[in-house]
Amino acid sequence: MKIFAQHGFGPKDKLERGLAEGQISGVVFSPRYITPEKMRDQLALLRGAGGMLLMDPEYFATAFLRHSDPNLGSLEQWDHLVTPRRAALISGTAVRDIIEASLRVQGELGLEEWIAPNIYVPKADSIDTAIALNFIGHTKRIATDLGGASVYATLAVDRDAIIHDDDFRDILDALTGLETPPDGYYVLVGSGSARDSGNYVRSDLYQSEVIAGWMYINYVLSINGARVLNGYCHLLSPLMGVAGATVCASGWFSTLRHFSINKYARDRGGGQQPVIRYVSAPLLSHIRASDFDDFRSVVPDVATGSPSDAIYKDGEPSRTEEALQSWEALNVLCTEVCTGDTATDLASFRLRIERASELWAKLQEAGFSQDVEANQERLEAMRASLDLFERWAELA
Amino acid sequence: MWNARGKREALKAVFIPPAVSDEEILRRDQLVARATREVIALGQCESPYLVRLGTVAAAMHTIGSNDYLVYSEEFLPGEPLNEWIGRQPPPSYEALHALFTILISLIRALTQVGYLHRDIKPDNIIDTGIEDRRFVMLDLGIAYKMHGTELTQGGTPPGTLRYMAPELLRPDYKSNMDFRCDIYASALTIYVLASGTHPFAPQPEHAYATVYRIMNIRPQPLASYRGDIPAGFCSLIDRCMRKKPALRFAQLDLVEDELRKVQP
Repeated sequence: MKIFAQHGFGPKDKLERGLAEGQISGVVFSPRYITPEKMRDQLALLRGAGGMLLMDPEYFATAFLRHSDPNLGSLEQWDHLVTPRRAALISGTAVRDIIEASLRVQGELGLEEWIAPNIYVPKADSIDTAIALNFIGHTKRIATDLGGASVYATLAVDRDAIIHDDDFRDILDALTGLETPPDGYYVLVGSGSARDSGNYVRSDLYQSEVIAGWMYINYVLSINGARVLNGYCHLLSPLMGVAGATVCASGWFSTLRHFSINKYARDRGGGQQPVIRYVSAPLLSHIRASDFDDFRSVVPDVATGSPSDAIYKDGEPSRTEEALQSWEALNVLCTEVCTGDTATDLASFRLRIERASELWAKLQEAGFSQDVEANQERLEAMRASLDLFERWAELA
Repeated sequence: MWNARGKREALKAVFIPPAVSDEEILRRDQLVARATREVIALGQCESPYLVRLGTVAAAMHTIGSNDYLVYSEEFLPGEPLNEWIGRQPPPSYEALHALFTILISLIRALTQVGYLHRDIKPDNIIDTGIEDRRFVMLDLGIAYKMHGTELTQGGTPPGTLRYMAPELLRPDYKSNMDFRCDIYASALTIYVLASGTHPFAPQPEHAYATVYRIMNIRPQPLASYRGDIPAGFCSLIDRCMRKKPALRFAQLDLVEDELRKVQP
C-alpha cells in the first residue's frame, strides 16, 4: 500500500521533498488551496520528482456555496464547480455535465488519473445516497468518452452514514452491482468536528463502528477489483491497508489528517498554532514532539525507528520535517502490517495493538499523562473495529 | 415426452392458478403473455449448457379445468445431480470445477440476454455424459417466476428456499436482486455436492429454521469437508456463498479468473 500527501494550505517544499525522498508516492491536490494557474506551475515542478499526481475536485463543497459564511478558498476560481438546482441532481439531468466539467479540467491539467466529483452523503437512507450512486454510475463511461484516463469515483460519506451499518452495507451491495464500475474509488469518511486549526483533532472518526465501516468499504471494493484511495486517513492508514486499500493519504495539519465537511464553512471559534507532532508507529499514535524525547528516555521502544527520528533529537523539527516524518512512519507501519493477506494482516495488527497498549501502560507507570489526541482510547476503538470488521466481512 | 418428427422432446406444462375477477383475469393474461415472451427470449440464450427449446411454442392450454402454459424442450437423457448428494466416493474435483465453470458461463449467458435464473440447484442440472455438454441446466426458471413472483403479487420470492440467496428473503428482494444470487446458488450447489450435506437445511424441517440459517449461519469452510480439493477452489466457493452480495463477486470475470488459477 502506498502513502500519498493530502495537499492543503502551506505546502512549501513538503511535496517536493516527500516525493524526491520517497516518503510519499503521490499527491492529492485540493483546489481549495491552489488556483488553476498555480496548480499548473506546481504540477510542472512536481512532475520531475515522480509519483502520481491527482486532484480531488472537492465538488461536495458546492453545498456550501449558498452558505451564509462559506470558506471555499480558491475553489470558486475553478471552472468545474457547477452548481445546478438540487432538483437537477435528484433527477440526474445535471450529473453528466458536472462530471464532464470536472474531468475535463483534470484532463487539461495533464493529470494521468482523474478523480470524479460527487456529493457528500450525510446519511445512508437519504436521497443524497441515490444521487451519489448516480454520480458513480456515470463516472467510468464519461471518463472513457473524454479520452479514457483511469478514473476514481468519489465516495464521500459522513460517519453518521456508516454508523447505521445495515443501511450502509446495503449501499455497498448496490455500489458493487453497478454495470460500469470506475477503475477505483476515492473514499472520504468525514466527521463534523475536526477543527481547522488548534492543538488537536476533535474527530469522531475513532469509533469502532466508523473504523470498521471504513475498512468494510475498502474490503468490499478491493475484493471486487477496484483500487481504493483513502483521503484524510492518517493513523487509520494501516487499518485500511489491512482491509485492502491501495493508497492512503494524509497531510500536515489536522484538517488534512481527518476530513470534515464543515471545513468549507468559516469556523468562528478561535484557534492556535498546532503543536509539532511525531508519529510513533509502536504507539500507533501521533504524540507531541515535546513528549517524544521524554517518552523515549524511559521507554526507548516508542521510537518508530526510521531515519527521520534523528531530526527530533535536536528539538522541534520544522513543519516540513514533521510532515515527512509522519509519512515515513505511516509507510513503516503499512509495510510491516499490510502483506495483502487479510487474515494474516488482521492478526498482525492485533499484535501491534497489544504491543502499543503495553507501551502506553509503561508510560503511565512512569507517570506520563496522556494527551487528548494520543492515548489508549484510540487503541480500544481500533481493537473493537477489527472484531466488527471481521464479522461484517464474514471472515470470523 | 413428445415425439417431434422422430426427435424426442420434453413437454413442459406450467400450472397457471385460476383468476376469478375480471381484473385478475386481465392481469393473469398479461402475465402469461409476458411469460410466453420470456420463454422465447430465454430460448435465445446462446449457452450450450441451458436446455434448448423444442418445437412446441409456448402457449396457454386448458387441460381439464386447469390452465397451463405449455411448451417443449429438447429431451436430454442423463443423471440429475441431486443423485450425487451423499454418494461415495463424492464427486471428483475435476467434475466440481467443470460444473462450477459451466454454471458461471451459463450465468453470463443469461445476464447477456437480461435474465437471472433464480432456481439453480442440483435437481435442475443433469450430467449428460456428453463431452462438450457434460452438465446442462434443465429448467429455465420461468415456472418459478410465474408462480412465485408474479401471480402471488410479489410477497414470496421465486425459487427453491434451500438454494435462495439471503437477499431474496428480504421483503424488498426485487430491488436487491442481480446475478450475484445465481452465483450464490451455483456455489451452494457445488458445496452440497462436494460435502454431501446442505449447510442450511441438513434435514427436513420447518421453513423458518431454514430461513434463519440462510440469513445468519455461516457454513463450515468447504475445505473442512474436502481436504482433497485445492484450498483456492474451496475459498472461492466459500466466498461466493457469503451473505452480503457485495462480499461475493461483482464481476463474472473475477470468478473466471479465480477458476483459471485453480484449474485441475
